[in-house]
Amino acid sequence: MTNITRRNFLKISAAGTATAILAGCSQETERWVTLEPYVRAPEEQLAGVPNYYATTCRQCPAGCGVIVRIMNGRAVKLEGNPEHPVNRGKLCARGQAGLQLLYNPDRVTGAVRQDERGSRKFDSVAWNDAINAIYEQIDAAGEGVGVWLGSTTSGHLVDLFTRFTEAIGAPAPVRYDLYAGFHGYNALQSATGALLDGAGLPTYDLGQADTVFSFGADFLGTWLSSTGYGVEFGRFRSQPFGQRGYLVQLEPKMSITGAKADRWVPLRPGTEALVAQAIARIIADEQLGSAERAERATALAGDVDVEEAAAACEMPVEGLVELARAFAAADHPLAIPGSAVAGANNAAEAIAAIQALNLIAGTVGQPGGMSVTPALPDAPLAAPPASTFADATALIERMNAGDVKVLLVHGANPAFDLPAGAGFVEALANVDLVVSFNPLVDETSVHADYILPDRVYLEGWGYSVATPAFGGLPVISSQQPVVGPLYDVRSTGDVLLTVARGIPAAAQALPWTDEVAFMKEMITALPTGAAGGQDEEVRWARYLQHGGWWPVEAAAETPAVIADAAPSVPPTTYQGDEGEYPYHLHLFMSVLLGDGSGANQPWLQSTPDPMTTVSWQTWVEINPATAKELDLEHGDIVEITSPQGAITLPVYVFPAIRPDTVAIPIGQGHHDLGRYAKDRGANPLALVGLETDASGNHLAWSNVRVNVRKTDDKRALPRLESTIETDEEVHIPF
Amino acid sequence: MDKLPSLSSRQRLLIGGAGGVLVIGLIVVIALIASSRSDAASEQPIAFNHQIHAQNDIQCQFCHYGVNQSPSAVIPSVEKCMGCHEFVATDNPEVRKIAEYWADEEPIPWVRVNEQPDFVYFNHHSHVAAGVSCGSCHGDVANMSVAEPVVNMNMGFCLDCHAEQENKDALYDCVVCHR
Repeated sequence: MTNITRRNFLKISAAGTATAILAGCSQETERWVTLEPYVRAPEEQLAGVPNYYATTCRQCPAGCGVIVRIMNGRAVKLEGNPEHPVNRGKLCARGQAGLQLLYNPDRVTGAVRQDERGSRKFDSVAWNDAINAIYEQIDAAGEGVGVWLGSTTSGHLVDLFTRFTEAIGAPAPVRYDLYAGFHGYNALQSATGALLDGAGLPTYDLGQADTVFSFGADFLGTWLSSTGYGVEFGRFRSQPFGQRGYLVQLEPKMSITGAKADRWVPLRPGTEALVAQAIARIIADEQLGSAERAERATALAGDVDVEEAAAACEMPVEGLVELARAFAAADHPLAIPGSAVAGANNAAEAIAAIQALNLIAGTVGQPGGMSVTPALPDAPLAAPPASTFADATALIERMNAGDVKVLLVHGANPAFDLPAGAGFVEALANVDLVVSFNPLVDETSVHADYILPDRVYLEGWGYSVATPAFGGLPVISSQQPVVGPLYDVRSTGDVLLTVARGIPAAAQALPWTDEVAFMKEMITALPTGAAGGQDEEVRWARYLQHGGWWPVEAAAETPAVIADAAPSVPPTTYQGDEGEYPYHLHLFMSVLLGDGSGANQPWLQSTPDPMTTVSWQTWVEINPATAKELDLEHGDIVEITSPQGAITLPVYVFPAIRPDTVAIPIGQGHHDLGRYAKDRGANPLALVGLETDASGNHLAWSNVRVNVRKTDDKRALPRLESTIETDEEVHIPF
Repeated sequence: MDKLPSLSSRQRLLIGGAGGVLVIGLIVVIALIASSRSDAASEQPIAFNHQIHAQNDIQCQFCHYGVNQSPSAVIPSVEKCMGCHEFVATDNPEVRKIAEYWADEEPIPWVRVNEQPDFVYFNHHSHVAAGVSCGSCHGDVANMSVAEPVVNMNMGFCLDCHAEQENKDALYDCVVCHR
């Protein structure tokens, strides 16, 4: 080796430094600001001055109003629309992340064809050729056209597709996805319809209630309209004269709502209805509350033995009596059935048993009570109902029987949303043409022949009939393009209208030149709303400007109570033998990823879950006592098996869960849906079977039992902070 | 004459090293100063002549129309140029370049002449509203052919003017510009 003297070393290093500096200087300095002047300056835009447009969020089905800040033609920030009756200026994390759907690097940038399904080899195709190709097959298929829509599909598309299928004699579109199945829109609606005269999704005036029993409704996390109920919760906590309401959350695993509650009851899964029935029984037996209340309780309380019920829900009788007394004594008590109730084997009856408490309270349609989302004044714009699981499986059966020649999918991802046993992907083999309108290649689009990407919601037109509504106001939330389409994408409404033009029956039913003409006709037919305006054009402009249509005042209609006897609730059954599968499986929807469609947005992936602070992963929450028994600690990989399937995922030791229950968030486990979602976490729907409730309409997903088996693997769990360390003494609150 | 004390090799090395560092430092400083001077004129895609426009009584705000409404003065669109130059001076070789951009529907990649670093929040609108003329910061652009950054708009330059204002206490606050 050459001997480098000290002098030589210094010389070399000085020369090196000088060269580096000079080389750095000789490069042209990069300007930190580059000008981007226009070829044609848009009239309404000025460089440096933002524009704001009102539109509707489509990150979940709630239909919140958003205001988008536009700088130089680019959407840069979303905020809640303060005028909007649903979210009243607030916006959740999912809503904020909508920008990452618009700017998602994995969007399909034009019409594509796939010669071999599942190959993921997409060839771009001219839009007109693609539309012609699907037109020919749709025309030939006639009644053999199947349409599968999602809860986030714009209302105008649901209306257009419904008119289209009606015209060509095909069955009505199925509108089913994970939101519909998990939150049980249909079950809630039908169960409430059996109690009240008035069809519609129930709404709860949380803001004016004083004692709220939430049977697992995570209304501050992921529920029907979590931003709307978040605002209501704010009102609930700051009522006149310093009253802040009393919230009891009954659920097997503490949700963010449970964490905010005054009292959290770790309830045994599947016993929500029993608790409600026992409370009604105690009010009747002890003649609690006002005379009317006690009288109604006598009529509506079922034949339930309180002691047996207490034993079944593993609660002391005194606890139930205490709850009953609190409920009966309150001025405005309110009972809310949560998602898990809608996923039980007795979904509709269990919901009805909980709703019956509201009838006993006598607050239906009153401040602080239960009501139904009011109907819109114009029939063609009725809120499109969510389909049932039975409707979805019926379509799959038609596909298997070869009755579906063409399947059109928009806004839903059945290949991900349904339990594997439903056989959606297998059934696609019998469909001649599968067309997906989804903006990203998701698990369903992978099996499509054509992907004709729709504009994402910030680029497209639409409306959303907000369900549930708040303050007794029916709301149509307006959606308008706030930026021009980033890519060569076409709105599905226009594609459908183009196809319809070639089919005589459909052309007659859908005479509009484009989707905007259709929407304008629907909206301007409504009476003048809160935004005002006499002339049609003015009403339309104000509808877009203010973010939608809603009346000035709520109609003072109280839905009549039609139930006169106690709803009979079949006993809860569980899937899986208790010996072989000793733990209850509690599935919950991720606050951030929603039904899983948020998994392609890195802001949502990287935001920590509010209860565990885990991000970018699927985890299973296990009580410290159970973890000790199974010799598990944070990050241990376990295999969870149910009678239907198995998944492996890391453990999060969580003190606020029953020892006999394990909880897993839904949302991850994608095979596709872009780089951020792909091959990350596990999809717990693999553990869910095809069992339904007695009516056969609703999927039973919350009564599954599982086993937990430790594997040799361990992986550090990405979490922001540790709520507990496993070697610490943990206080278990029950 | 006393003999200069002989330096040890170590001392020589130290002095030499220090000298070397000084020289390198000087080179760096000179290079930095040189690079901070804009050579906008030679970089501009079109040799736009401000003087001839000013002589024809075209106000600054006709093209830089954002100056009294926006933080940004606005660089005019190609359409704005073509509004006149579809008919005026169409045989000028520089004007022909505009027509080419217009025909190609391409924006003109103008090079920024005056700029503030991104930690400075400068707002044209409030300055124009306070009656500051364009020339007080941009120099006599009306007599320049291609615009040059003749005024060194550093912090001292801003504060000299802010200090003369009635509400100078408020205008001396850091967060007026650095927020």
